Amino acid sequence: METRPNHAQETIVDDAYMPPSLSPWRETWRLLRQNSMALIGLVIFMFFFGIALTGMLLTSGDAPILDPAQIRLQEKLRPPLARPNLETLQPAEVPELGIYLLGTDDLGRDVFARMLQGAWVSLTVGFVAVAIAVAIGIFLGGLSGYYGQEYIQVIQIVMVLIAGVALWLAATHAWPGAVFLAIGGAAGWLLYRRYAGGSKKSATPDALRWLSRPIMSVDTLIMRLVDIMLCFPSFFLILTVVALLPPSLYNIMVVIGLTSWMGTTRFVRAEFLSLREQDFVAAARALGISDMRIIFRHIMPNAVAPVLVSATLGIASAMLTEAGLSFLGFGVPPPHATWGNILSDGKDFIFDAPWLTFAPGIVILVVVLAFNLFGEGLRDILNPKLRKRT
Amino acid sequence: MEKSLTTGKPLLTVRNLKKHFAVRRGFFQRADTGVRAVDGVDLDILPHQTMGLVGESGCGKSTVARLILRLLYPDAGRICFDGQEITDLNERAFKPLRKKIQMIFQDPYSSLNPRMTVAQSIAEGVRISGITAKTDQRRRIERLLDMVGMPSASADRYPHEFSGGQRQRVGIARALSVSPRLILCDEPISALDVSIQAQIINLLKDLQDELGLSYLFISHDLNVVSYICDHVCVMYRGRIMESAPATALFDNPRHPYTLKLLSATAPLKEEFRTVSDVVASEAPGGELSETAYAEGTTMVEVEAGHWVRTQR
Repeated sequence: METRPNHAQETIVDDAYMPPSLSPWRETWRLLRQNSMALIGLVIFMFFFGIALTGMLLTSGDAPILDPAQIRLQEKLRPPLARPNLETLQPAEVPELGIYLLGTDDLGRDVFARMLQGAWVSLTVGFVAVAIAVAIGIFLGGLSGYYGQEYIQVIQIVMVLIAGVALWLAATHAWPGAVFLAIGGAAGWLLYRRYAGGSKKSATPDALRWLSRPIMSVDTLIMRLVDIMLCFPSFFLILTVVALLPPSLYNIMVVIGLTSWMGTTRFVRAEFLSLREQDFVAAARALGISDMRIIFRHIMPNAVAPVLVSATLGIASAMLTEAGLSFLGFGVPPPHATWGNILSDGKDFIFDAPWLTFAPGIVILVVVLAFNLFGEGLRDILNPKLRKRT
Repeated sequence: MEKSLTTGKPLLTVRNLKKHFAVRRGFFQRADTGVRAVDGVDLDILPHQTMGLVGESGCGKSTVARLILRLLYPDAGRICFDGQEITDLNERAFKPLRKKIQMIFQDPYSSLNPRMTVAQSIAEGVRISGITAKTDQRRRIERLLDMVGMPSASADRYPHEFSGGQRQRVGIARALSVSPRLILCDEPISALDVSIQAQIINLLKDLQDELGLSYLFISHDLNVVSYICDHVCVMYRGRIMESAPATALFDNPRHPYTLKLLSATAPLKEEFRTVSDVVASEAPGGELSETAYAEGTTMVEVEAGHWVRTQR
């Protein structure tokens, strides 16, 4: 017969025998330090982040310390490390550093200052576009993965259409129509819930039964939307949209973000599909924890790893896309410097002034490579198969 | 430990429980008849007792547990807990009852959230049970860990730092966190080392004595079932084949499938070794194949509390 004292004997671990506690994040950091490529990528990324931040501080404002827009026609196409000719320059035109670190372009503007300004553009485009893409991806992917098996009914489509038309009317200031539709829609929904939408099928009148007919699952709707979005060659889609919109940095960020969420959506959906079948989710449901808490507290922290990887790689590709757009002249409007338009301006002088092409080209290469290395390294590190099980 | 004294009204009653999974195939996704995972199961679990549910893999044992916990919804049948019918309750009305029924899972590696410390995992249940103050929660968590034989220093560690047996203890602590009356143990020891198995089984028995728990103990290990269970149901292809008090079932098995199951495992008793030959003649249905028994429609009470499915 078992009695209470047996517990004490069975206590297999004494406090003294326990290895030091290791949180998942500290474990990740330990693995990162062993992966030299990822570490190099991270270091370059931190360095670039610092440069972009100081660059933004140095080149913005009314009287920037390094003015990327200062034109000095008498000093055009000076090579890197050239000293300014103090006799021909106004005192205000003399560069603060006393040297053209990366030379000057065809208008005599300091390429180093322009590169600094461009760094900030690249950084913000990369991060904001990816933040938008990841937000959409997590939302749609989570919806599709967790609620994917739920069916959309005719009534729900009708309601969304009514709400959409009402919003459109409101946006065009057709207030009577908008208010009428909104109230009518709400009333219709309540009537439907009262008389037809109940749990008992027999209570639904035959004439209204078609309203509760399932059309397709949430998963089908979202994943086919992803498939459709992937059908467009994304760069040309972006080109078209950007050509239609007024050129500005914000439009570019938003457009790149809105056209690059599909990969993240698929990743998040896949993660949710596998995680929601795990026993710890079943245990959480058995305890009566709400859906929202299960999604955000139990599933999400386990699903961030692939999102983090695809976000890191996404930053690199967003920066490349922005540089490409700027190179083609669809990017940030001209007086503002970006790596893409410095490259574009420099291509006419590639034999006379190669630094105009090489400076942004090499920097784009290095930064994008660093992000890709870091992303790949992160993927290896976060792979659960490589984690040490104790 | 006289358990027969506590008999009376069953804590959980399951009647004619059915769950069929549709198998969709073909271009137009026609739903076929599908898999009859659970096909008319009756169970009665008495307070303070352990009901064993045995059977081969895929016979629907785990599905029964998931249906009781409403992780799945039954196609037909009734489930009553403590006299209250729970089959038709909506999720909101069922929520208070969730605290009364908990589950221990088979795989201790996937049953704990890898991104939560032990304390955080258990705190989810402690919070649900109505303890809101952080210090009170902490005290309760340490008490629960002590009950399952884990040091309180383990509270702030992550699951990957523990062995399978230790994780299973944490899983038990999480199930206990809402003070349940019934715990569904879904093969709680089959993923563990043999040396650890006995510890977990003894822990479960101790907790039953201490807290007055009822268990539905799902397993395919008959030795363990004979050790821990008061009453045993043998399940095959979604149906109960034989239901009897543990001693009666192991001493005097009546259904051919039960005999086959007993002879397939490492025998506890000498006579089971040769039993497969005598099965057909001794069994109540005469010379019938195993499948014919599975198709049988009625349960016959051959002794007090000993029910066997037969063809008649």
